[in-house]
Amino acid sequence: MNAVSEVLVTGNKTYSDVNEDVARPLERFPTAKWWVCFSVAVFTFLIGALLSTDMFLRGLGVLGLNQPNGWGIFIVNFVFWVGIGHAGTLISAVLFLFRQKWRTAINRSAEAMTIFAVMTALIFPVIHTGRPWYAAIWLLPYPNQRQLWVNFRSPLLWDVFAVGTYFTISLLFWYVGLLPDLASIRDRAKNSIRKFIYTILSLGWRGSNRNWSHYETAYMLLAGLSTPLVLSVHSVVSFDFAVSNLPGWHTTIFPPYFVAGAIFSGFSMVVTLMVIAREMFSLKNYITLNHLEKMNKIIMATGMLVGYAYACEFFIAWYSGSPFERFAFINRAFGPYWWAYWTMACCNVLIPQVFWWKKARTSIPVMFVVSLFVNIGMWFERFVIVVTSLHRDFLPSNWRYYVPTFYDWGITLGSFGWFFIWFLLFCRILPVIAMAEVKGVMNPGGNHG
Amino acid sequence: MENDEPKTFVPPRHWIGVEQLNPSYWEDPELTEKRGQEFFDKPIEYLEGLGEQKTSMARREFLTIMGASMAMAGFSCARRPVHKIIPYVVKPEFTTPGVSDWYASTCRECSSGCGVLVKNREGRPIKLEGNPDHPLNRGSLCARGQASVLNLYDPDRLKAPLAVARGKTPHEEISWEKVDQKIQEGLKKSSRVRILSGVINSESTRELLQSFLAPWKAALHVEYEPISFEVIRQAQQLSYGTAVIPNYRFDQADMVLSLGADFLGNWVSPVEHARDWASKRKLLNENRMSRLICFEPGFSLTGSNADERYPIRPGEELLVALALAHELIIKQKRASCDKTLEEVLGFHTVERVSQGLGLEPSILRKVASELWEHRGRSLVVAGGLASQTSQALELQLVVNLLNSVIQNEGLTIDGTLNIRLPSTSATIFSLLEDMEKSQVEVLIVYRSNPAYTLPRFQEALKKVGLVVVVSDHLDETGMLADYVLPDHHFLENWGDSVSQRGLLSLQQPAIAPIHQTRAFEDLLMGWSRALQGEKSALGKYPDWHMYLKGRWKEKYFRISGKGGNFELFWESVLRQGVLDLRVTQTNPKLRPTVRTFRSSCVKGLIPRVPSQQPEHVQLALYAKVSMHDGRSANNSWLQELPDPLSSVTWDNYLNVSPSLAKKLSLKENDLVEISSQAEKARLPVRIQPGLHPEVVTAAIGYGRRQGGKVAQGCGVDMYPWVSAEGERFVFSGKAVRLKKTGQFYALASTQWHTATEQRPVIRDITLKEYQKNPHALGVTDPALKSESVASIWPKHDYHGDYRWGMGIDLSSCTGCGACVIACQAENNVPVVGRDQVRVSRQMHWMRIDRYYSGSPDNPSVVFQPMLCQHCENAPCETVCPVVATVHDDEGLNVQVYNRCVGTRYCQNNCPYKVRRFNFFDHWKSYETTMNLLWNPDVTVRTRGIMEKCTFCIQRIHESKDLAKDRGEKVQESQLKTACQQTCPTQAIVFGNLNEAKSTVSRWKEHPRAFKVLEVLNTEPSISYLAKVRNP
Repeated sequence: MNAVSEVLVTGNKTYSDVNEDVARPLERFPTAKWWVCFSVAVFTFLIGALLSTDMFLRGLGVLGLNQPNGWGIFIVNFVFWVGIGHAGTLISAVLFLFRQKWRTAINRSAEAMTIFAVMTALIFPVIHTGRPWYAAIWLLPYPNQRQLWVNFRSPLLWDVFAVGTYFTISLLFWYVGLLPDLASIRDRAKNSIRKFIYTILSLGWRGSNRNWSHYETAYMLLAGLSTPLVLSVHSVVSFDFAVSNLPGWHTTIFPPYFVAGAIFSGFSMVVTLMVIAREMFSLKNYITLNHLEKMNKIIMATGMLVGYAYACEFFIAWYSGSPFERFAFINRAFGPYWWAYWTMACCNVLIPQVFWWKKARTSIPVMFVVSLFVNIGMWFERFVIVVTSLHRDFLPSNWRYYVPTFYDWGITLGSFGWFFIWFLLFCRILPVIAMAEVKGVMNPGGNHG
Repeated sequence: MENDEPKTFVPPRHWIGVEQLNPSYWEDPELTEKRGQEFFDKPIEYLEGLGEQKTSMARREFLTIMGASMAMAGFSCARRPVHKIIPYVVKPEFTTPGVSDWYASTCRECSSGCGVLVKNREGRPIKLEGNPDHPLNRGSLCARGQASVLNLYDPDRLKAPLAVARGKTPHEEISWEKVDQKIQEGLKKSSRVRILSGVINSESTRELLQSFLAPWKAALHVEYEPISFEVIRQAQQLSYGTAVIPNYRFDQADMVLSLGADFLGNWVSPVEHARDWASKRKLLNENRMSRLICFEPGFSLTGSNADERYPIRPGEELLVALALAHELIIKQKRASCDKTLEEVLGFHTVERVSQGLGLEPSILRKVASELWEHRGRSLVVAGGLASQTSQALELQLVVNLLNSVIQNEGLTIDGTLNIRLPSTSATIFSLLEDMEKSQVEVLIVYRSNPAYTLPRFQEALKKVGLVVVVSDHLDETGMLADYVLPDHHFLENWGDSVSQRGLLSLQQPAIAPIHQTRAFEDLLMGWSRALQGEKSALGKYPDWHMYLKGRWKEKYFRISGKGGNFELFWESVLRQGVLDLRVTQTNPKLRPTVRTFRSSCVKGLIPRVPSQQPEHVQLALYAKVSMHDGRSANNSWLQELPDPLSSVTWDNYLNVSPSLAKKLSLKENDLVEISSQAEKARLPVRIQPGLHPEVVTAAIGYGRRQGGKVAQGCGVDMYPWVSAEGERFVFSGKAVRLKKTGQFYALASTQWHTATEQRPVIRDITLKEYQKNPHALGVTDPALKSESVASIWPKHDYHGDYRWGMGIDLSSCTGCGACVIACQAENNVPVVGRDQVRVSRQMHWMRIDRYYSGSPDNPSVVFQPMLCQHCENAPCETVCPVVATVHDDEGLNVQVYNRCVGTRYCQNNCPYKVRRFNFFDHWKSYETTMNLLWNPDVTVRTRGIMEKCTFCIQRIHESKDLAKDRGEKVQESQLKTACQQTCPTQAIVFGNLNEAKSTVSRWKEHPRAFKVLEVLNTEPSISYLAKVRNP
């Protein structure tokens, strides 16, 4: 009945093919390639964990922070990872509401990426505090008899709620969406332990009409709840900067600018991961070039939004007449951190312009390289925002450089390890593609006429 | 009470078994015991009773052992051991724990002798404050005075006598009995004894020394300090016939001309001079202020506060003085000119000298006219290390001439109130000669370190028979001695001091000696008694304390004419700390006599200007405000005090002018090698705008080889560059070459950027502009003109008694840094070390920002103390997620240490960047005895916590408590923050803004008042008064 106008699943696949192609990789022992990737991820994570432990024991002085640079690489990482997560929610929720059927091939992995990105992001605000053993508790308004409250005027508190709810909703949405697929794997399971585990996980899914009807409603509701989060969460994260008074931070363009940037970097991360995943798991018929091309178009569009925001910032800094603002932006482009600024500008504004050409949009090597550069550029964007505004602010007597130390880089590397540990485990345990949803948008047996 | 009647047995009314009716039941001890137990029969006992072997553990035992093993398993993660604080059971009679006791004493950190009040808590001194009753410092204390309390608790202090054996074998401790014996032996068999000491300002100690040395035929006391003002005394003797260091009345001078004399930093009596000088520049209620013109080779604190400053080469001060004298005497005929003067001055016209100096002739002419205009109300001062060339004496002579010509003599220069006691007749040079000729058998060195400050001494020491060093650290001289004896710190000892003729202050111990130290005076008394027995001149009194008291009774008590009971007199002087006999000794009605200048003293004076050698520059040495001559190099507070001009901590460096740096392509932090014929050294470069292009300067007091963990490894020793010509030490003027080494050394500076970048940070104005329109403080950028901003939020409501605010007068602030150290002492602010300062993590709550303006060849300098502004709209308060920083109802921005989790958002949002984050557990650097120094009223912060100035909230609370006891409000004079209390120029005021008549309220409304970064609408509680210059 669903006559799809475009071919979303190539290769004349049937419904059972879908199950077979997606679920089979889970059911066999991991390949050597997976083990190699996993051990690298574990190794880098351990580096980060060891350095963090030393940092907890000795103090934040092992990092490159100083006076006036109170925030550094860790906050850059925090914003970077939260930003990446937004793509997943956009694909799952927003594209669902917009009835973009092509989302079905990528939404499962993208949403998983979101959850793991948010988990990675949440590490940083906690470990970068001076007393994380207290910060983990005191930032929450726990009930007490001493009239003790948290400061609701502080953007860091808004972060707690925003990112906290974002994580919860994303997890819930993702899990609810997984139920039919978990049931499929349960039904396919030969091993009794596997069957047992997936039975528990699939919460007794029978595939009845009632199940499906509840499922569709729940999915719609959760999509509706998640959609505003796409816009609000990174806006709230941007308030960490916008609500302060530093030149270069204190500007109203931050919420839309950050959201655009988040989608930009998130989609690039999705492209990076999908290019690898479709190769590793032979899912080229599902995650087709068509899908990738659509994502690249979004990357380019949001990239141009981000470029527009850069230009806008410069214009407003000049137009405002405030010498503090003007100086902050000239300092960005021509001060001691000019190299970070120009890396950012090239990677974010210039490089995605190749996607004007269809050949570039549909070429796997090109899009892979571009997506990596975009993420590098977006990381540097946060670096430029955080560091250049802090290191030269109002009183010139305070101007000092920020030089990250070995601990900064090591723990950053460890966060990447942490993220990939989870993502690699996800690939092993759960279906990378939403089987049930893909079946809903394909023509089984291929397109005939 | 026992009843003798036998008790008749009454059976119980209710019984359990028939056996209870039997009296024997009640008397059986075993049963009696059993009745007291909860369970009649313990299972164990039951089993034992049954006679069964205990093959298996009974239940209770099992549980006991289980519990014990569980506890031990968890032992490794046990909580910190609980330490119990045991309060006094019986309150000590004269002290209340928690309330400070104050003792009056005298600071001994330099030879000025400022009076101090020692704040004692539970028997130990924790802070020093100036004695408000002492006429010299009137309540102020310099940075080194404030830091001297740390020397008391220095872990590197000598704790016991040492047998050093000239450094050939590792030194070992020796008992006092043994070392006394050895020294007495040495003294007994010698006839040529010398005592070498630093400047001793105590008549009592001097007398004791003389009495001690009397029995030996050829025994002498020699005083020597590297930074000495003896040349002033010599010049006075030659010029006026009285060998005095006169009292300079800066508070009477409307114009001051300084030829290299850093009277605000290191010259003669800096605290007194700073206070006096600043009193003429307050501009609070009047429209006039004094003028300061400075010609100097280096860039000193005085130069940076001058209205006009001219960089010159070392030795050219003499030319300036001669030219001015020529102009006044020969040209303008202001005074009679005899043949000698004509011969001496004739050649040095203003034109010639100006040409040689590269200045416009009009400058010197104007200076001369101004001096004459302010005759009797001006001062010409000269001296200091940077000007101590081979002709330092000649400079002083011509300066004396100038002062006499412009009639300052007797008015602003008071030759009757001699500062300090006369020097000893024997000089260090004669001592060196004697030593080198093996003419010294016993040398006792006290509070002097000539092996460090005088390299020739090291060789000469080898020829001395017995060398005994009495000191507080094992220093360079100690390492070459036979025995090193530990001396009391001045807070542990009795003493007195003469700061001016007739002005006496007492020194009393504020703590029992911490280590096995002894007073030097007691040592001498002990040796004298042992050697001379009954005939000893020092045998009259049992110890130094009694000697001092006895002498005061014999001498000062009589002179004071107070009569009555000596004990009461003694106690009242001890309590006050000072005895001012100046009025009784000199008739208050008479002015100090005007002495006549003897022109014969300048006969034959020919200035020697060193010829300009190609590729050579001249080296001028100076002493830093923090380090002085290096005696307290082990004091980490002083090492970390940023130098006012360079903001560098922990090291010395070579100051190079920007043009010279450009010529030699030198950059900041480059290691450069300076070399002369005799010496070579490597120093990092610091570019100092305003330095003469042919002069480089470096500070002495660094490069110590001994003296403690902190002292060693800091900077480069520049004492080898001091030469001697005849009987004079020459510090400046040497020709040196510079050579790049290609290496570099990162100096630890707290401020790299020195321009205000046109931001509304500093407001300064010239006197003329101010006189024309007091409200004309211009803003540099119209966009930064602050206007009042309407707010939808309610403001803080201060309907209570107090609203605390502060005022800082930039015209008065000289940048000396005393407030920084006072705050550090008061608030337990830790030291972080050179590496941490390099990455900008210094913890000072108060800092002095220094900004240059004008041309880099001769910039103007402004010092701005920056501390938490306690803003009304504090940006830090809104962004702390855990409410660790809040505004209290008296206007303070309060930091709650326990709640802070260290997100540092408050630091980011503070536009003044006054918040300090504890990156490490810096408190752990306080070792052993240093822990006695913590102020118990202030929390010691752990790592991960933000801290900042609290307006000394502990002092506010203390004052409020005391005022409450009296039933009144806190008076302005009773509450002073630590920084305000110590400021020598009284640049800081603190008080109640709710009172319209308080000083701080009046300063807030003053036309000169402004707030830093006002345009950001933070509404700080601190008003700064603009700096007014008088060029």
